Amino acid sequence: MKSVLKWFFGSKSEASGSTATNRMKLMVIHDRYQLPPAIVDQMKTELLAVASKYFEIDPESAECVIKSQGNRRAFISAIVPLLKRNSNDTNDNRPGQNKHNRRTQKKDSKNLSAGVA
Amino acid sequence: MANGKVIVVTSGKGGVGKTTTTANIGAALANMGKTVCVMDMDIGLRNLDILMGLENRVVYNLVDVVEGTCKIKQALVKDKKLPNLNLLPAAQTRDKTAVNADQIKTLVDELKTMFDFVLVDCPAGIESGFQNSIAGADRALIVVTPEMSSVRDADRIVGLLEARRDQFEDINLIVNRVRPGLIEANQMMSIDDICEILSVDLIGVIPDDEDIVISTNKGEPLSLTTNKSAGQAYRNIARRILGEEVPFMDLNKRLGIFKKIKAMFA
Repeated sequence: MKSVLKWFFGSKSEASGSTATNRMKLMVIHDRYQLPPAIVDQMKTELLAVASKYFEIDPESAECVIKSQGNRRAFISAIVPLLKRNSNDTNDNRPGQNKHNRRTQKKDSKNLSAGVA
Repeated sequence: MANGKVIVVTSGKGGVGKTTTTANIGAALANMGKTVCVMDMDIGLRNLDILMGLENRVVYNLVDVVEGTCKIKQALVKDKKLPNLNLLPAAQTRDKTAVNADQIKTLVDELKTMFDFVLVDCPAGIESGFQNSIAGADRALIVVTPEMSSVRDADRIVGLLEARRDQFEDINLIVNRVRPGLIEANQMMSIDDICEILSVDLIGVIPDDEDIVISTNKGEPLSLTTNKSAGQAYRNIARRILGEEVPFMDLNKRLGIFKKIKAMFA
């Protein structure tokens, strides 16, 4: 039946209804938060800079988008592929750490977070 | 003495069917026995009188009332068929600055004591005409068509109304000029998508109906004259406003016949 309709209404442009919906979802977020697109790019650059302090990252496949979560609110979704721990980080790569038992590891993680802060 | 509700009909964008919606819901409520005043707030660009077929009976207008030139009752124009349906016309020779929000609030508060429902036909835009129109409203109906520009403007309206959420008992959405065939073919935003984007509760879906053109030409709201399609959809909204649970019409019904015929040739 759908194909009949498709034929009837013509398949000039494919599913422009979905295109409109997707454009609309993004547009209202930018309107509501008074958010120029350049700000999202700037935020992405800064987020990547923070991530690359601790990790070697793959900036090419990193993604930072603002999405709607309903109720007229939005959230930031950032996906940053991590390649490995950054060797410049002084708290990293201490040999023998892995062999410690859980308790000392916990202690270490406290030190680590203190170091980060 | 009535203790009425003031319902503002608004949209942001012009030409999406606010005035048609006001006239039809007003007529439907009156036809169900309620006392109704439909009030044209589009000062300088009045049209509600035309849709009601009352343009030749207008003597005084809303600005005259606000300025004290006449009493409310002198400005009200009774409908030709329904004596409990009244029009408060806008002034045609003035502009939006002729009144302010406080004056309109006072006016609708007075009208509330005279009618069960006061339907305020808001002008397009988000400036003073809009601010004046929502001043005394208890409920809001947002009219939107399934087009991006209309949805975007409606979103601004939702934002402005939500900022005064305490004032409103309800904020509801009417999706107008729906073309089920286009939605089915995914060439038009669906009702669900529009509701999700705007996060407003739906109160009615009006199919695109060429009878609207004819009823406007005659000056007879469609909700009084026909049982089909848009007229029925408007009546359903009126019933929902009165608190009835009315299931949404199956707009694909007509499409069904269409489909069948098309399938025969396929």
